[in-house]
Amino acid sequence: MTQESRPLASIALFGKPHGVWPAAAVLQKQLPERISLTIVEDNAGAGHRTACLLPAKSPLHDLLDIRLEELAEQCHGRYSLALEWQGWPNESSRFFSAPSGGLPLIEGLELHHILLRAARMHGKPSDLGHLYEPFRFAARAASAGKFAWPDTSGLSPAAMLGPAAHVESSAYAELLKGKVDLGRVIVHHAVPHEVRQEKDGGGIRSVKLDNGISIAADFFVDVSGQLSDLVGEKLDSGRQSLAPLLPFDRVISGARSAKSGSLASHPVIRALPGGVLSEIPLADKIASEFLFVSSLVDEEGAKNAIGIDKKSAAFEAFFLDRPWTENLVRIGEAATRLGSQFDSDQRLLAEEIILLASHLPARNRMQAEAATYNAQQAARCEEIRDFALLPFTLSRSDGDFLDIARSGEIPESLKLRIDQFKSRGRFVPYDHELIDRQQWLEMLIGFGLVPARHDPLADALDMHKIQPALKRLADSFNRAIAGMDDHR
Amino acid sequence: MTQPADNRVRSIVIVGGGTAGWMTAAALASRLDGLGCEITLVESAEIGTVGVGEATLPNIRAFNRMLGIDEAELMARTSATIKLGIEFCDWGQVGDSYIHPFGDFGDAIGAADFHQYWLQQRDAENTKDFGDYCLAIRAAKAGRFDLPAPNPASRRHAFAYAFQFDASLYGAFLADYAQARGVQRIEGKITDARCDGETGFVRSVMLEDGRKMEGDLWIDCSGFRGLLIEQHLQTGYDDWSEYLWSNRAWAVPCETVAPVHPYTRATAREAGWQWRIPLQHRVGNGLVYCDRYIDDQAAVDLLMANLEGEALADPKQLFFKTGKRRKLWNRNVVAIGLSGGFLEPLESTSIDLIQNGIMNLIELFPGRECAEGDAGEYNRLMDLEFGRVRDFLMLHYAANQREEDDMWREYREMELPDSLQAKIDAFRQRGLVPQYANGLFQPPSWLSVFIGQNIFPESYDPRAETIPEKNLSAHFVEIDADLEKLVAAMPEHREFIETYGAAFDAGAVGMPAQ
Repeated sequence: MTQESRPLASIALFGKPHGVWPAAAVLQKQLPERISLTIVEDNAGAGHRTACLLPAKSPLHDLLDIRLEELAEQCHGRYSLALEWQGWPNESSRFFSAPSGGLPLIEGLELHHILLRAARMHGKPSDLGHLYEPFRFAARAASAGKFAWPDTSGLSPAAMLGPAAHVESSAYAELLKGKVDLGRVIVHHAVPHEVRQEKDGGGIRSVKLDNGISIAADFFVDVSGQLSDLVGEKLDSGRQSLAPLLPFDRVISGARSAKSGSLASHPVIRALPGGVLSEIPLADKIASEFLFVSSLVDEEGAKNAIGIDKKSAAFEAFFLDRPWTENLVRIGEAATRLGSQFDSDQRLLAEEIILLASHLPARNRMQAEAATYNAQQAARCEEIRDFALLPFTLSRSDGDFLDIARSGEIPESLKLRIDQFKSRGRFVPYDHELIDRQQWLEMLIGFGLVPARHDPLADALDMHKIQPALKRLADSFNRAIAGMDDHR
Repeated sequence: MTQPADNRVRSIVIVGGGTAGWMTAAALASRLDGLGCEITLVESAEIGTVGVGEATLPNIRAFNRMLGIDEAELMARTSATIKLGIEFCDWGQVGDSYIHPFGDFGDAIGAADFHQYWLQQRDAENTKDFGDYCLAIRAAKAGRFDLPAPNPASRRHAFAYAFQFDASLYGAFLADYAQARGVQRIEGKITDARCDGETGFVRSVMLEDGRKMEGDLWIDCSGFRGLLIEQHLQTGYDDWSEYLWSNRAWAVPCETVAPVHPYTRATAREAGWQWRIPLQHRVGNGLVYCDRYIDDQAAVDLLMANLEGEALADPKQLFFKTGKRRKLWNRNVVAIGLSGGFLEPLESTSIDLIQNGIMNLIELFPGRECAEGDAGEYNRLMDLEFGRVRDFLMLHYAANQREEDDMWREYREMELPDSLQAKIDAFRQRGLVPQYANGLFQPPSWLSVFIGQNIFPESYDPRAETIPEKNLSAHFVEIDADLEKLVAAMPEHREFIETYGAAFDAGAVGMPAQ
């Protein structure tokens, strides 16, 4: 950009309610009043999901003084400790994955190395998953139909729990909208229609809406992707398709009523022929989303999968190398789309909003902020992407779409993580990680990876002395689970 | 069944003593205890050691803790003093001075980082220098020290410390430690090495006296020459002298004449910089320089003219080439210490890079076949760390405003690596500092150099404006007053050493009593 440098005075946000209001709430809370906020809300409603999962640890909610314990009541939702995978890693299997805090080291070693040594001593390294199971505290609690809030004193195993709220997206958007002082923002209900850029081909000068109003601002935040579509390649964001790894090209979603007692207590991710079905139980309904490959499943089959008469929409998994170019930053659906596994998209949106708040430009020249934001966002996005890809990469089921997914070239970061674990049980840490190391380990082991070697330091342990310590740990988990309330 | 029995490393040979060799020996003896792994260190008194680094970084304490070393005993045996940071004199401009501390600046005020509020307030009447809001700096300047408070909520918790010690005594201390835990020391000079024709692995070395030593895993701590990693495996060296130009140093100890400061000093000179590291019984000094800008005689004259006390020995000259080995782990040889690379003594990173190499080796400890994946990951981690340290060191040279000397002018005008240029741009434009979880130098380090060498952002975080100026000012006053009280309550540095039971026991290490 060649225009004169001056303090940032105005920001315009564009998006659907579930994305644009969280961003607006955070920005308004953190920015000085001299910076004006304009919100262009596209509340046509189409295209966004019925429900979302909100993790317990959320800097976004902390910032807005939203307690997880209140979310479900306010947003017609429920709570759960884990996701259930049905049909993964084998066709008949059920597997629970939960945020799991961290297990204590034993003699300086991670538990799985000790258990792998024990499994090898008995000539059955493939028993690792079985031996590890008693120590998967949060997953076991969920599997037993139990629920508890994390113990904030940190004194009991319940400190490891990381419950999520599953809520209705529209109610969540309303809740967040309620956090915005509407008297201090300008709101338009419209969609962007045309973009005017600076003469030198740089940033956006103004955006004309479909209602004829023109919005000028120093900084534009695109939460839905509509603005980015209008800009096109003029502000190249380095879009990277993930279609070879997440080969779904259609999505169908909706909600159907259900009696409270008949609902599962936790979300379920089910591998079906031709696609992946996610079901999220809400207060009195169940929200479903089916990602599928159109060459394998027809429209009728997709409707049957979710049990609702809806039309499917196009889907492509992608992420952006440079979500912030010139004075346009893309967040949420505009920056990444990974699908419903772990509710990656909603999780990334929350992280992007927080990251954006800490990188907000001070002036209308913002290359440095953009470069730093892009680098840090890339690290966050890579981890969530890798975690979302992991079940597809490790699944042993024979499945049409799984065969396609497994034939793609997995990202280097995930490859290194899998290779290191496979060869020596080591977990590779990266910067800016969002997901518990423990949850990663449980997925790697649960999806059947058995390291070829354990840490050589485990060979120095006296297994007779270690055994009672392991038993005490497992017993404490058993007692804690037995003492938890039934989820229903 | 345990690990396949024939794949376990049964014997490790460490080639070379010195700081790197004995740190490695001590750590492996401690961590591999019970594995039936034989550890041998071969060194030659004839060859001698460089005695790398006398000043350390706070991570050294974690290393010592891992070994179960009593800190006071260590200090007493190595003539150690406390180090709270490094004072940089004349680096931005002649006459400038700042301390890079081992501690945080300020504390949480609002959503933005502390330095953003300071940037907003820095021209206000009552706002002090950035360093005045750091406990480690205040204590260092006052010559006082006390252990950090264990409670993270306390302001007295927000700093760390390292040591200034005699590296050769540290090596000797660890040699005793390692040998007490079964490490075998062999006196001898290696004359040849034999490699496996198929794998290229080093299988044995021959000593000058005809003895042959065999090993599964070899740790090359032989110094700059890289006896195994380079002379036998011809691994190659990434020469970074285009980035860090210093290639020589003179070192000399002198008598202590002033109070013993709990910090190291690095003073910029016309063609390099001079270090001053106060130990309990002497002061270590040295001049690091680039021979393109000053000749050897002028350099040694400059050093000797700037000693604070009487020289205790003849100056010793060192030669080096900044850079790193292309692979620090090649086949079954891991290079740790100077054989793996050397950036330069600035910021005391040499011992830390040794420690980093050791900890990564323990985490990736291999089987006898030394899987490519283990070595590859080790090299990735070390490359990442070397690169980050290089950028941080270069920042000291690049961010200068000295007009009178060619070297400094040319450094200022040099093309920087993209990774460093991006960091400088981010700070210059909006006060953004590098953030990474697994690196040596964290935001307070970058901040101290940026601000200490007069790089001030053009703008600050808009979130800093949300706190009324009056409240901000009151907050700064409160921090300042609290830090003053905390420092006043600390004992003087020398007093701390004595009450901690860490006074140097010269007799215990065979030196004349002080």
